[in-house]
This record gives sequence, structure tokens and C-alpha cells, in this order.
Amino acid sequence: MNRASWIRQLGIYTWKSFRQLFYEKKWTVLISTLVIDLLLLLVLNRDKMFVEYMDTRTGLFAIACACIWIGLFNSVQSICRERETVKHEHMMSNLSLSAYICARLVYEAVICFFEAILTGSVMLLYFNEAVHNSIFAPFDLFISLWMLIFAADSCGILISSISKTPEMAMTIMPFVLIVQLIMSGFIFELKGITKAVSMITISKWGMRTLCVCCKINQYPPEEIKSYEYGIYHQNIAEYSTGGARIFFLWFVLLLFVTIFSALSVLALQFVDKDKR
Amino acid sequence: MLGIEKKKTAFLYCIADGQFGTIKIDQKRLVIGNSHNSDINLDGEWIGSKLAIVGRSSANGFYFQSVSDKHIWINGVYRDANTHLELRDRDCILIMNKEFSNWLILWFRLNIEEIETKWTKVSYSEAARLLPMKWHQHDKKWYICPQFIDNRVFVNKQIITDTTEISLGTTVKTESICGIFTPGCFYYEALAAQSADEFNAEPGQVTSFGRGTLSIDINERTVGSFFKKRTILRDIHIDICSGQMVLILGGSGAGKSTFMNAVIGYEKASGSITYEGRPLDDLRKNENAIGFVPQDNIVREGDTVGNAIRNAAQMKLPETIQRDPAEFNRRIQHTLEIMGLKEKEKSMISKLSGGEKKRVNVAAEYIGNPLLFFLDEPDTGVDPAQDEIMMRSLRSIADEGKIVMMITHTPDRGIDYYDKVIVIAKNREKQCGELAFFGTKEKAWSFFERHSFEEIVKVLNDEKEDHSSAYVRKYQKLNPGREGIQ
Repeated sequence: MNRASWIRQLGIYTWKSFRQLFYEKKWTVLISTLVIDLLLLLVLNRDKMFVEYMDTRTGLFAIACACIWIGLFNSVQSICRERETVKHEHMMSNLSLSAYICARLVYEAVICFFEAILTGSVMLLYFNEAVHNSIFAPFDLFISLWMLIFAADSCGILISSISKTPEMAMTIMPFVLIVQLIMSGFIFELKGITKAVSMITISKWGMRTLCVCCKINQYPPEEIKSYEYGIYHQNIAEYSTGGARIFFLWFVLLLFVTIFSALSVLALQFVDKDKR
Repeated sequence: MLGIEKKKTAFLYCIADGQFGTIKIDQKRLVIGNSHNSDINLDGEWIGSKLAIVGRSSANGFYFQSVSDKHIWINGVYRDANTHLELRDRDCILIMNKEFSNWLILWFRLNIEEIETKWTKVSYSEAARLLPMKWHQHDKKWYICPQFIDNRVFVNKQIITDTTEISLGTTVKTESICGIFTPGCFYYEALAAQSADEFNAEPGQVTSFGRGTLSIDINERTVGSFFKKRTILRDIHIDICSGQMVLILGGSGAGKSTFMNAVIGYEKASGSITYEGRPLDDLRKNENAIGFVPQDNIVREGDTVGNAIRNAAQMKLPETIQRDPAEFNRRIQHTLEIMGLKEKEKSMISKLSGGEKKRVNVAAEYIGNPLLFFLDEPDTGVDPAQDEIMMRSLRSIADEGKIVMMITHTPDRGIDYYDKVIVIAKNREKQCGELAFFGTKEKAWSFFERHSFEEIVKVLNDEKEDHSSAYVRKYQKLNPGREGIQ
């Protein structure tokens, strides 16, 4: 069979993505990340976050949502925008779709890494040592943010693989975001099927990761004083930091990446059936 | 997804001054020399302990590497010392010492059982009787040209139609003979005695010797759902021989692109498309043997021209070529030059004009040296000078024994380059595209009673008079056969 090997294709498409990063000035996505982070700082309470439980939890939820937003936007149009080219390369150049997706993942992992550095740095600079206290600080925070953004990014890759056009991707994305928000388990107390659905949302696991990382249980719970909170009380078990819990949560986020990537490859198999 | 490649078998036939030997290439590296340590031991002091290396580069790839300072001709073309070549079926390598007094022929055969082959040595005058060509001598040089228009004579793996000089190492292939010219004599193998199966070698190997036929049988191409189907193309049954450049003409919306997409496999149509009996899908997936330049841009704009071509080469070219940086870069530079993109090598594709982008698209497919090359309006936005260069390149691809099929809206620009014309017209009665003509361009003009292709397209586009349906009926009545009107 006359085709470039899988590894070779991985290398070709990874470098192609990085070249486009500079040629098309895609690094400006880091500026939008910074803008989102700064917007967050406008609403987060510096005096109460990492001091009181609910403000910390609310703030971490906002950060988790921002990370999901950043991750999704990184990649949601990346594949559908060049779908014709992918189809052509798959049909004419024996492009391996798994190599193509993996190349995308490598590239996105690097972008997400820098976005996590940026977001984590903003958090640390703003909140100083109040962020959290652990042996691995601040690395565990950076890794948690990285995993969360990357998981959302891989979800964006899946949306992009399913969508035939960028418009279709941008139509699907808000629905995915809504599900992440309302099924996270933070805004509403979930029971039954909604609770089951929440187990497969990035927001729930991302939220847990950040809360465990920031050791939220150390902060004293305050009473629910008014209806304005509308949020149920803390769940000590979910945010406990015992053992290797943080590693387990990172593994779960990585599992999301793996599953979304595999589904992306499966979705792209249908690219040959695209009509004019 | 996980396929097991069937290994091909390959043999190297060595002919030296009447002596003949056969070697099976089943290892990664076989050294040819006269030393007892050589894997392929040949007699002759002039050969040296290390003449060349042959071997298997992959399951289905074989290579030849010259490692001495001898003269080398490959398929009649003189090559530099230390040449590295990816071997194709029936490649003929002539090696001579510096004084031109000793020689050796290496003939490479692929994917066959070991065959009994008898090579005969004759003088030039005897060769003249054997080969169906006109011979003449001028200034001590010999020249040949085909006797009849229909004679398909391959000289150095290219079809000749004009007088061609015979020189040292020139290979000749006709229907019945395959041979090579050496100093003062002609060595040949009579092909008539061999089985027909021998010619059913892998496409891309045999076609350069005129055996490849693209058989197109499109019964129907439909669109729409199960409850509301619409036929947009039907009943096209033609054969296209290798070495032909074919123009696809038709009115707007007749189904030209649909036809091309159906042939390549981009769009599913009922019927079969085969090349030498092999489905085109198979060729496309396993051999990278098809090049297709669609109407839309298929190169990523966020890259430079050089990088885009380089990546296309990395995806399409065999490993043996990619392992030779000099050859690899040479091919890239050659492609850039042919397409007039040398000066734009470092330019961003997004900054190019429409015509330049189109040339990048063509180059990205051309670099793969495809066996079958399909182009859908490759000259859109291209100026006449660059179009001429591109047409010449496409013609030379066809002359190598490959097939080039092209849709263009300026058919009269490259009129001299086409061998045949396919005209697809919309049968307004059945509301679908059908074959209105297939044959030579001269016959096309007399069939349509027009003097140019553009006039033909104009008459097909005339909605007031339903000429399209009339021509479809006229062609069907003639029933000229699969090779069309010639």
C-alpha cells in the first residue's frame, strides 16, 4: 500500500497546524483568553473568594464555565471549516482520520496549555496565596485548568467533526454549553435522570477538579440566609481531597478527551459521503 | 482499517552479452558485483565488487541504487552516477563501463511468477524487420517512427508518434516485442509467446506499456431520498486507453462534474469503474494512483506554497523517494517550475490570486505522479501563458502512458492537446445527463457540424432549441462502441 505511515501523517499535520498558528495569527486566541480572565476578575469577589465557602464555590464555577467556553471556542470550527480538504485528502491521499484527529489534539493540547498558564497566572496574581495550600501548588491548579480546557477543546473537536459547516457548529455549540451549565449540578439540585446526565458533563467533573484542587472544604460553610442563594449546601464527599482524588479527577477529564476524540474519528468517517 | 498488505514478488533479469540470469528480490538489500561476497554475483572484471544495490524497500516497493561510476541508462534516459530509483514493472537498466566496451542489462519484473524468458540478440537491420516502424539512418544515427497511426509503440516507456532517434539504452515496446538497443545490436524478448495474464500486472506498472484501459460503466447516478429520487446521469459506457488526454464537454448543468466525480468515486453511481479490471476505488485507496483537482480549493490557505506542495509530496510519494532528499527536493522544485510557482514558493496561499491558487491545487496533485489524472476546470483564472505550460505538462503526463481527463470552460485554448472528447448533454425528455458524443475531436466537429468546441457548448446550452436531446439520440443511433467514434 502506497501511503505515508500513521506516525508520519501525525507529524505532517501537527506541524501544519503549528505553522497555521503563526501564519494565520491564531495565537491571538490567547488574547481572548486573557480578556475572558480579566472579565472574570471584575465579578469575582477578591475579599471573599478563597475565604468563604460559597463565594469560592461560585467563583470556581465561573472559572470552570470560562474554561469550557475557552476550550470549545478553540476548536469548534477547526475541522468543519476545512471539511472539503479533509474529504479530498482522505479520498485521494489516504489520509488517516485518526492521525488527523491526533494531530489536532496535539496542537490543541499545546494551545490549551498556554491558556491554562494564562488563566492560572491571572488567578494566582489576583488572589495570591489565598488560592490554595498544597505541596504541589501551583502546578496542580495549572494541570487542573489545562485538563478542563483540553476536555472542552476535545468536545469542540467532536462538534466540529459532526458539523458539515462552521454555521452548523456554531448552532450546536450553544446547546452543548447550556447542557454544561444546567447539568453541572451547581445551579440546580439534580435527581434521577438529570443526575445521571450530569455525570457525563465536563462541567461537573471540571468543577469537582477545581474544588478539590483548591481544597474548598477547608472553607467554613455559611448559612443559607436568603432565597437569593438558591443553591443547595455543600457536598463534603464530592470535594474531599483524600488520597489520590485529584489524580482520579484528572483521569476522568482525560477520559473525556479520549472518548470525544474516538467519537470524532468515527464521525469523520462519514466525510466521504458529503454531497456537493 | 487494519489491512494486511499482500507482498509482491519481483525478479531481476540480468542480460550480459548473450548470457542470461534471474534473481528474485526478496531481501531489503542485495549487492550486485563480481565479488564472491556479492549477493548477486556477475562475471566480468569491469563490473567491480560493488556495482549496484537492489532491494525491497517495503512490502510493495523495490529500489535500485547505483554505487559505482559506470554509465547508467534507465528506460533509455541517461542518469548520473549514484542514482537512486524506485523500480516499476518492466524498468530496464543498461549499465556500461566508461569505455563503452562492456555492458549489462537489468530488467525488472513485478508481481509475477518466475517466467521462462528468452532474449534474442539481433543486428539493427534485423530489428528493423521485427519492429513495425519506419527506419532511416542519417549521419550514422538511426531514427524510427511508427508505420501506422494505430500502432502503439512505446519508446523509453512513452508513446511515440513522430520520428525518434535511437540511442544507446533506448527501450522499445510493441504489441509483440520488448527490447533494448545496445552498441550494434538489439536485444529483445518476444512477448507473443507469453500468457495474457502477464499483462494484468498492477496498474501503474503495465500501463506505461499501453495495456491500461479505463472502463467506465455508469448505469445511473441518482440524488434525493428514497421517496423522491431523481436521475441526474445515466448510461455512459466507454473505454479510455492509457496515453490519452480526454476533454469532457457539456452544457451548464449537464452533469460533467457529476460524471467526473462518479468516475473517481467522489459520488456513488450504479455501475462499475475499473482500470485493467481493477476497481478504481481499490486503485485510489491502495496505490495513490489517482490525482483529482476539483473545482473548489483543496489546499489550506494558511500555509506557504512550498510547504503545501512538500506536504502533498510527503503524503503521496513512495518512501524510497522521500528517503532520498536530493530526489525529493528535485521533484518538488520541478513541480513548482512546471506550474510556474517557483517564485511563489514562500508566499502565503491566501495572498495568491485565484489562478495561482488553482495552480497550487494542480501542483499538489501533480506531485504524486498519478496514473489517472482528473481535473475539474483547472484553468479557471489562469492566464493563457500559464495555461499553455500547464497543458503541456498534462500532455506529457498522458504521453507517459497515463490517462488525463479534464473539464474546462475554455476548451479551444488547449485544443491540440486532446486525443478524445466526451460530450455530456442534458436529455431534456428524461431530464438527466447522457452521453451525446465520445470520440476524436475531428469527429466531434463533424458530428456536431461545428468548427470549435465552444460552438458545440453553445449549441448544447441553447434552451430554445432542444439540440441536446437530438444529439443524444443521434449518438445512440450510431452505436459506435465503447471506444467511441474514431
